Amino acid sequence: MSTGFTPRGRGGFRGSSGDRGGRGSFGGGRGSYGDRGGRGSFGDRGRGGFRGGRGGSFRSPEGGGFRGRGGGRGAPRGRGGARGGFGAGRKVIVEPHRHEGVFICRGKEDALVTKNMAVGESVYGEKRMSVEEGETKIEYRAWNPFRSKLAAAILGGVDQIHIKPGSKVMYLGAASGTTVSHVSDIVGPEGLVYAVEFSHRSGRDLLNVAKKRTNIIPIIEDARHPHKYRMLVGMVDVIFADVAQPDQTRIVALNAHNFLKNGGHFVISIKANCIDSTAAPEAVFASEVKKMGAENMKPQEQLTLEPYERDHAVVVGIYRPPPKAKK
Amino acid sequence: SKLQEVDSLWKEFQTPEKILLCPLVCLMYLCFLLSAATAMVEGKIGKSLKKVLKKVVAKEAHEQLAISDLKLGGVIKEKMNLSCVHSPAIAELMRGIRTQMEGLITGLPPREISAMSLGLAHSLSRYKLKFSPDKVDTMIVQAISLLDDLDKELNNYIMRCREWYGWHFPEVGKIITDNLAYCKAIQKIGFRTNVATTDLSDILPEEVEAEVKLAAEISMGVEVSDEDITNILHLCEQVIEITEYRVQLYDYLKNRMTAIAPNLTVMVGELVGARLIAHAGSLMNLAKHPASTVQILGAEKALFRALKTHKDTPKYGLIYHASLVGQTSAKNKGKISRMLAAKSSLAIRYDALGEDTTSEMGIENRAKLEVRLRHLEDKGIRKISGTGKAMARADKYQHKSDVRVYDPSADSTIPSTSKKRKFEEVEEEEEEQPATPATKVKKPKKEAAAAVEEAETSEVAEVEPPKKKKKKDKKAEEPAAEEEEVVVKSEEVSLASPKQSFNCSQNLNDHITEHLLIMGCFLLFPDDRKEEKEEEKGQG
Amino acid sequence: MATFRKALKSKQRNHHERAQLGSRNFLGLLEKKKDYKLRANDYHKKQNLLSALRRKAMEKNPDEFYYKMISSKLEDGVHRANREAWDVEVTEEQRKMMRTQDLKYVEMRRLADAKKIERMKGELHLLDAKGKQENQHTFFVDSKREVQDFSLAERLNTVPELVGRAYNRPTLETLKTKIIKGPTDNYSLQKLARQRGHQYTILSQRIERERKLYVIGQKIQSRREIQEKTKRVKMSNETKEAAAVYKYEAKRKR
Repeated sequence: MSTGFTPRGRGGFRGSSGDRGGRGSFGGGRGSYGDRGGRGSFGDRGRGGFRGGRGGSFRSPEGGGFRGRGGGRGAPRGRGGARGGFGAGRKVIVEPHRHEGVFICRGKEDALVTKNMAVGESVYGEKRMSVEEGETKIEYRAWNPFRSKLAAAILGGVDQIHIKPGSKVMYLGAASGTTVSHVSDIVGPEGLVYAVEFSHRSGRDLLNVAKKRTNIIPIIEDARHPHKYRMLVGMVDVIFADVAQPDQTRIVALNAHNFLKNGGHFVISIKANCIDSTAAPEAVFASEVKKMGAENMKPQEQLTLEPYERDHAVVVGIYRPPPKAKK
Repeated sequence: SKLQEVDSLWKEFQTPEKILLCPLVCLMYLCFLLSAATAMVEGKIGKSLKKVLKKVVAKEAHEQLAISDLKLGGVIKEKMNLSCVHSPAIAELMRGIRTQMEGLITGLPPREISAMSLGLAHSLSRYKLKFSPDKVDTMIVQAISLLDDLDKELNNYIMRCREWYGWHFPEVGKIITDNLAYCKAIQKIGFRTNVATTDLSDILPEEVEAEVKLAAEISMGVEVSDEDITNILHLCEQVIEITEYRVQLYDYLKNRMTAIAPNLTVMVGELVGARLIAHAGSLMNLAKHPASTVQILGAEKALFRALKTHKDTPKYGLIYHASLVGQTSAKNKGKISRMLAAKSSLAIRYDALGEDTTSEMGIENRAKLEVRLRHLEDKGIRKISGTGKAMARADKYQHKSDVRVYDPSADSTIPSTSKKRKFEEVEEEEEEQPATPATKVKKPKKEAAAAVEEAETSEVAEVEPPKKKKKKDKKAEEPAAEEEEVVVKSEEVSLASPKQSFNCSQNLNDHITEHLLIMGCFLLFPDDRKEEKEEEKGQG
Repeated sequence: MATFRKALKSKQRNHHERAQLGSRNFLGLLEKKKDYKLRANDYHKKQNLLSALRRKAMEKNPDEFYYKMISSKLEDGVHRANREAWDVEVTEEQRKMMRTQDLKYVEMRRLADAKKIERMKGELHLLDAKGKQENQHTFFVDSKREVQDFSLAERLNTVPELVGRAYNRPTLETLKTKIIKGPTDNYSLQKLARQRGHQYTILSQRIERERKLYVIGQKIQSRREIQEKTKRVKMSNETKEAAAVYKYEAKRKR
């Protein structure tokens, strides 16, 4: 049963002030309408909600995720009996995700969440949900896919992110530590996250995040020179890169040659605009994939991040794949 | 030879047993001191590295050293004369070693290694970011919140204390207005029966003490037991402690503010600066606000109300309490608050984002602001035409109609020799008057009048504001006291207008000459003539 | 100073008035005492005016004469004073001022909406929403044979029924071992779904409102700028969705 609603606008939830390119920020409530020169076209530029013709009207999410979806294969035990013994009074449904350590929280909110390692604290003002489980209370933090590329990839249905509890992850382009905190939640206290960020301003915020979570190792260095932080890092299982640089494949390759184990995986987020703003996004993604092949990095899947980001893609692959036994 | 096949090298590193490692490499990886690490990052040779390398030179000088950092290799070659080698094979070797690091370095569990690298990473990052612990602005936010909390609590406790003790001795609450003095006093007193025997001279001024002692005799309070008094006294102790702590906290806050944001402190003062930072959340947040926001920070309620009802938005928020805004006239407060907000937002940004900040910039800006303030105040007092520096003078309205009153000065039986002297002085002063500016003449005139009136009525009071008051008739004290007072007053007067030679009081040692002084004033201040005459009459 | 000590109160939250329910919006604004007072005062003022006018009409002197009667005219049965050219209702300055105030108010509401939208987007991630843009998912395989034999359910190691559910396709392992926590009965699930749908409705309403306020702000701004004397060329007309666009002469503002 769907309670249909149609937003009056044309499609997309992206139509909000954040996408209004070039207008600049309007200082609080007092409307400082700055430049007189910049009275360009008002129209569709940057106002994501009005993407020409794409996206029809919305209808509401249907109720009850797993229910009613055939009991065919494998008779999952989770359907039948004990659901942890909760009555109708509970407010939230927590669904385990395909990827370990990630969950889906449905109630009044409709969110991708991770289990909070530093209970009671919000890193960037995100919503926290407490769920009672018998006697213990578990706190989950919402992971905003509009801000984080990894969350957008997970919700887009990526096959594998390779970041599991207990794995060692190297995160290039950690910025202020918003996504890094979620990765730290996933890998848990047994795993490690090496967060590399070059900017000093973001580095300060990253350092504050790392203070609360002991499995984040902050590295304030340029990712282009991995030898400068070689003494801090051991071998890692996964490299996640969100650097937004034109030579990002080379950066990832350098780091992989130094720190990524054989058979380790990499997850790279590519911004088409950043690599080449004149070419078509598909062409840019294809060229990046080709560059990866040259460095012994074998891509396994690629997906674009609609509806959360525009002209972005995430590529997942394997480094130095073990040679297949010939059939 | 083993290094030649690069691609198959990784096979060799599957298990740690296949590798024999010379102690050299172990030591290289154990150089986890911060100095060594930073030295390596910058491509220099740290002390521990030097030691290890010297050993190598001693033992196996003919062997080649595999190195992964080219720059470091160059430096080593120069200084230690050790030939270094770098190739893709070496890189593979390094990979292998890194993979098996835990197995290779015996006696160091992996948890320890990760804890070590975590500590090292934090120290390195802090060093990179030039993180200094005294630049943390959380201290300010916490301190100012604590200050507010303390004030609230203190107020509660004091009210409670007064109420409680008022049950036993209500009068003292009305006599002693100062809270700290009250608590100290009742701590010393205890039961009101002890008042007569206790000496409160170091806490209270004498008259107040006398009043207290008087009130204790005729108090209408209820008797209380020892336990009750003990508890009340405990509460007083707490109050006194908290008050002292508050003073300490205030000092601490001032120190922190000067250390963290020296320019902002110079511009608006410590307390206002701390409140601004606390309101914004952190110094960095405050730096992100535009100057117009800084101007009305703290007046959000009024701002949104004004925006919703289409009225005028407020002109100042927390900045209102800065000394620069406080000292201007009401008309100019808006302008000054805007100027102050603009300059202080510059100061804030300099403090938050600059490196090694001194307070020079703040002092400069403050000087500029004060100059502008002076110009603003003077704006109404400058001539439009004529010389630029000439001040336009507005004459005070004087009622010119002539009312003739009987002059009793001729009735006096006192010898008239001194009168003539008076007249000369008066003439001098009348000549001098036109020269001095009008505004300045008013004040010293009034002060002199007040001083003289006080001397006349011999009142024991503090410095009078230059207003006319109804004087009480009080008993005359010794002339000496009067003289002292008059001396004091006239010294003040003489400070105000040095040109007036009103120093005659210094030579006074006579009631008579005082009298003459007053008469001299009649001639000086025609406005006051009437009132003084009446008083004179009254005194007879 | 008392006001200084009350500075702590600057962080206190305002208590808001309750507005009309969304479902009763067709009835208009929810009237509070102050609205009633306005209405009542207005009514009484008018009644008083009417009774005063009636009285005046009764006491009218039929022989009265004033010289202005010669030149004044009747418009629609009402005498109107001849307005001077300089005597306009609202001066230019006043109109400018009113525009600024309106602009600030509009901007304030728009920003409030924008902030709320950001916060809501942190919780509502469009998991099940139909009609959202589809993304493209590419798999790289080694041979053409594999491309032909490709089966998504097999590749993803999940049940075929869940393949369409992109936001969460649990693997067979997960389906076997993990459990869902929370209410399971139909009633609760439907209730939660209704609530979720409601939140999405609110979010879309807010987005719409923010867009409208943006347009209003632009229109007020462009009307204000037209009052200036600089030369301009009109690029596009004003429409319902957009303000008029002008291109101004490039002159340095002193």
